[in-house]
Amino acid sequence: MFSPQLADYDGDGRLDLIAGSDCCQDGCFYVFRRRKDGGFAPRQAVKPVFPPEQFGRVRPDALQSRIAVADLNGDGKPDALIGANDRKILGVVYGPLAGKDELIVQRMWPEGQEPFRSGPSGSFMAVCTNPVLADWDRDGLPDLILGVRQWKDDWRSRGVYWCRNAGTKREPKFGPSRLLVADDDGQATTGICVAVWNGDGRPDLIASRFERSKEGGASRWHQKVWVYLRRGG
Amino acid sequence: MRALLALAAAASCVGLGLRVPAAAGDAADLAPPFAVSVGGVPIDRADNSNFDLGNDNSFPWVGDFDGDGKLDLLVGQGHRGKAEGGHLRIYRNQGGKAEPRLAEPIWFHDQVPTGLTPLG
Repeated sequence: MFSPQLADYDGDGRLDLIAGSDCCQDGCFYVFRRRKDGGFAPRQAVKPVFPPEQFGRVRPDALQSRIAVADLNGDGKPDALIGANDRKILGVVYGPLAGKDELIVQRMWPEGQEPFRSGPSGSFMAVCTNPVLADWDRDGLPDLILGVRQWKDDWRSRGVYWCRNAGTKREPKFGPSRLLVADDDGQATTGICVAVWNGDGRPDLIASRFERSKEGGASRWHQKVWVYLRRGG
Repeated sequence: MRALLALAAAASCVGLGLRVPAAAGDAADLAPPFAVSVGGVPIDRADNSNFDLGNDNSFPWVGDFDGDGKLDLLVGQGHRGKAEGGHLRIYRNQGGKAEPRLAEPIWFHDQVPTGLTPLG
């Protein structure tokens, strides 16, 4: 897979292209650095390392690289939130990030205090989209937005949630999850982004979702890109 | 309607084992969605003849790809067949900042020779 993100990865003031990838590549993600002429340099693989003393044993099939880049500690250098499809495998790498082939990931939350804890009856929750760091509530701090699925006889997407950053510019602290968009049994959100779609200054949610429809008796899959504009105020 | 959505948001948080009151920025702050389209046709990445739910998920990103100051749409996806890795489509914005109008997509790997991500 190719989960794209435009962010200043190397801190040179230009937007680079970062691509999360799928399993079986040691959880690598890929960076295409923006050149001065506006083009992109060739792909560079970066391997996140999850120390077992912090994260336990990480299964290779859990290493779908999911990455969000933003300045989390206010030092002016880009940091990275890196995860996998296990909710517990979501940690942080503080910048500088550029020029490294491996990044050592640190836990962001103590064990059991991750923002996505177990669901009802202890059902298992997991991240199912790329994470996004964006100032959703416009208080000057990056908040965390991501999609979550739940195990209940089978994996089912619950939808998109956000966790408010109640910390400071120097020290992020993401609060409990709050629902933004709910998925039902016939649909699942696969990727998300936050951007000001219509130029009004308010951050909007852009999400891709697969969903099944019945057309002429046949079942068809769709995977569209949806824009959820913020209301006024 | 707004009150109902706020109630639903709060109820959902309870469903996750958390008790958080709804607040600004929650579901009630979002308008009903619309599908992004090109030339009036919604972008739809599902290929029903060869659709793989596990590997064919798509990932949107909105940002200034070409440096013209306007937001473009990027849509990444899984491999196509067994020989190629992850792909990225670029939909350039030919409209304005307030009213994006997206052009037909181009492939990122046509711009950058290593623009496919390896197969998993």
